[in-house]
Amino acid sequence: MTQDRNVHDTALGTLAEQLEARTAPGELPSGHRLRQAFERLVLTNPKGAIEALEAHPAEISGSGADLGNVLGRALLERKLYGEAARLLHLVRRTKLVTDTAICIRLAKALAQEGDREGAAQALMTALAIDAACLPAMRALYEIAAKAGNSDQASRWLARMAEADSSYPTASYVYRERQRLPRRQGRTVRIALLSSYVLDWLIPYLDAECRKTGLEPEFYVAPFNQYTQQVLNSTSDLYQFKPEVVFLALGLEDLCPEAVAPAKNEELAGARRTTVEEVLGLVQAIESNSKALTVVHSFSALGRDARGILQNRLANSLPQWLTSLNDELAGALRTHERSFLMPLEAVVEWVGRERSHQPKMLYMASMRMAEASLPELARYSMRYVKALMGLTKKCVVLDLDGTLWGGIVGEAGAEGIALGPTAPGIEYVDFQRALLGLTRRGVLLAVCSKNNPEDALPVIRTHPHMVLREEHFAAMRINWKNKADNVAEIAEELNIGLDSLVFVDDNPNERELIKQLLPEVLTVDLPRDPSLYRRMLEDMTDFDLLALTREDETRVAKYQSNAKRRAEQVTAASLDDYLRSLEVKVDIRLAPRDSLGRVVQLFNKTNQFNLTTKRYQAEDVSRFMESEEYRVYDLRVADRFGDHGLVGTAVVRTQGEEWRIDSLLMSCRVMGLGVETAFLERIYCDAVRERVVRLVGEYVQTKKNQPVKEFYDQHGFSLLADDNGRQEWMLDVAASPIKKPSWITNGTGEVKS
Amino acid sequence: MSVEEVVARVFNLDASEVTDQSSNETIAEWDSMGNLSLVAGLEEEFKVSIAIADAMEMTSVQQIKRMLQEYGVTL
Repeated sequence: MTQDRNVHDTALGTLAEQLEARTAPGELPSGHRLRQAFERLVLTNPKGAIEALEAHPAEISGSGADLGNVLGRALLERKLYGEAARLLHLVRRTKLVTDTAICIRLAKALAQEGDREGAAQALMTALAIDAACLPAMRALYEIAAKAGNSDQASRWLARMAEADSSYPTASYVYRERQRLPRRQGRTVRIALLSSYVLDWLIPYLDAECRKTGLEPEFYVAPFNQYTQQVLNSTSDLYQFKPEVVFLALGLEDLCPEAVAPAKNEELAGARRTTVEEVLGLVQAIESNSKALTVVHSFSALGRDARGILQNRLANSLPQWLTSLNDELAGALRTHERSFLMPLEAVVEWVGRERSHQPKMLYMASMRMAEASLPELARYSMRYVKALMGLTKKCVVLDLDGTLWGGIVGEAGAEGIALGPTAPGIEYVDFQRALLGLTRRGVLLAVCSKNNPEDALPVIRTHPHMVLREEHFAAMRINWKNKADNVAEIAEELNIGLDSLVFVDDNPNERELIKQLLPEVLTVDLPRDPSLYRRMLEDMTDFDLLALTREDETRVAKYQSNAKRRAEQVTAASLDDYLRSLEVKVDIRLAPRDSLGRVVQLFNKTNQFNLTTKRYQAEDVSRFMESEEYRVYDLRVADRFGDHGLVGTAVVRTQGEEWRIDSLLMSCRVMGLGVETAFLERIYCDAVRERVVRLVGEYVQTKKNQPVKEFYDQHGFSLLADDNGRQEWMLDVAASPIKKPSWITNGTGEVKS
Repeated sequence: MSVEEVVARVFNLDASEVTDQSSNETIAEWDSMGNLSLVAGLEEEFKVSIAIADAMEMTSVQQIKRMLQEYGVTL
């Protein structure tokens, strides 16, 4: 890092001194000269370097993306921990430090000095830089565990397991969990019997159980002792009193002939003996315990020895395996508590090459390789969840962006994406998969922020809707908050909130439900609708151990008694939710370069539009230039991202009276209270200009129901109502307008 | 990635914590299964397939480096 050739460069020296003294000239030199000066400052006066960085973050990081890291390392080398913490603090505003190792090293040093709080802060910075930074999560876990905060500790463990499915992480999480105090929760006792080494599955099964709130206990039979354990009625297996027994037998262990390679007549006999052997084991388990028995289906590790001729001959390996598994499934069909689990489905999903790795098999008798374990655990959990009654009963669906593309209130029934070609076909396909769920007795419900007049015709008459009114057991199409609607749906259908799945393309709505109704399973719908169907099919929450006639007819039963019920909004918790969104607004007198987007909003916005005047570019342009008019624009950002320019307003100034000619906002940001912030800005400007009255216009249209009460809600009084054309008035001195406390000004990403 | 970094990634450590002397004695997760994960990690990173006999000998970072050089990996 030392660059000798710079030492005598007095000009640089001066620059470094200026940087240090924070008297740098208004215009800093760009590029490598600034970088050299900064590097030099790092060497001579690292504290000064931080100050320089605080003063000119953009310029300095612009001259070298790595300079923040360079400084961080230098501070750590000199044990200037306070300064390093200060540097990391800057990361929240600028991306100066990109090396998570700096945060972790600092955390370690601070922890050694007993500064747990500071250490945790440094680690959180590492996660802000890289949300999947495992060493940081691990250190945060250790801090929480040491502080005796076991809830927090177990959350960090869960997050580690979520972020990385490798075995070392899974086993670390599993081992550390055993050290934490037991949680209150339903236990489930799971036994694992196998002809090969499957112990590695336990950490993954443990994590899956805990994800659903179960506290698992495990029994793993000693290597290759499954027969003794099953046949001996006083064995450890039965002492354990398992609720679920997994029986995982390798084809090559149970039936070496099949892998030999075998002759046809040998194979026919081998199939019979294999089925009999498995059935014998199953019957023994059934007579010695009440457990649910789940037998892995048989799969092959290798290929048929006859190559492409395999399909010309009877009893090729794949054919033989299929008939073996069919026969076994058929035989088990009459056993109420025993199931054949399609191991092929797991192998197929993971990929054969990754599922079976010869080296792992030879070295460790590990038939299922590391890469297959997460999916194997997930699949196994389907049986556990079904047994423990954790099956979800109802999927609550949003409409716009979820069941069809686009916003029906804006685009109309003809404008939404739903039909036989893309875009549109992906939604049709998703609806088909949902319809398939109803055949298993799963209920569907609608929860959508929409005008019923817009949405219902689509459900009733759109030619490409797969799901119709009769498929929905309950519907909430209104402008109330979704948490209330979802709670109402649960009540109406008389099922617990923990039986509901919430599907919505809007991350804000998902966050609302996650926070207010944590019992509901809120799925993270992919951003890309073409993945919706797969996401649904991959869910393991709709499994039943048996399908009754009641399941099949449940949907019809619920539909007939669907009713609405009103309920109070839990204001306190809604406030907390809105606060957690970290909503920021940036409201400006619209500059020229907003023109395009502003005009677009004027012509596209239907719902949150008070007067629905369709101004064109020349109109808006005229307002912008006129002394008489003020054109505002509104940008909104929240913790999920920047919504961009989403609102605009035109105010006509007439001396003591200002008239709000237009005020409109994209429906994407409705329900956050930003409209009040928008109005507050206009109000404040009016106060500054000594305006006496604010007049607001409202012109009723078919679509703008949601803003019918807008002026009323903000303290305006009705002056005139001429057939849906209303004028509202606010006495500026008498009724101030204040934006909601959860909204802050400045989106931070907008240059004004 | 260096051998140290692979070891650190496999066992969720910070790379600065891993040295030539790091071994299955000093890293708790480096048990027999951990060793298999490490084999997989090294194979992926250095594009080699490590023979079982060699894999079973893997006990320290220093020793892994020596072994990888035999596979023609330049470190």
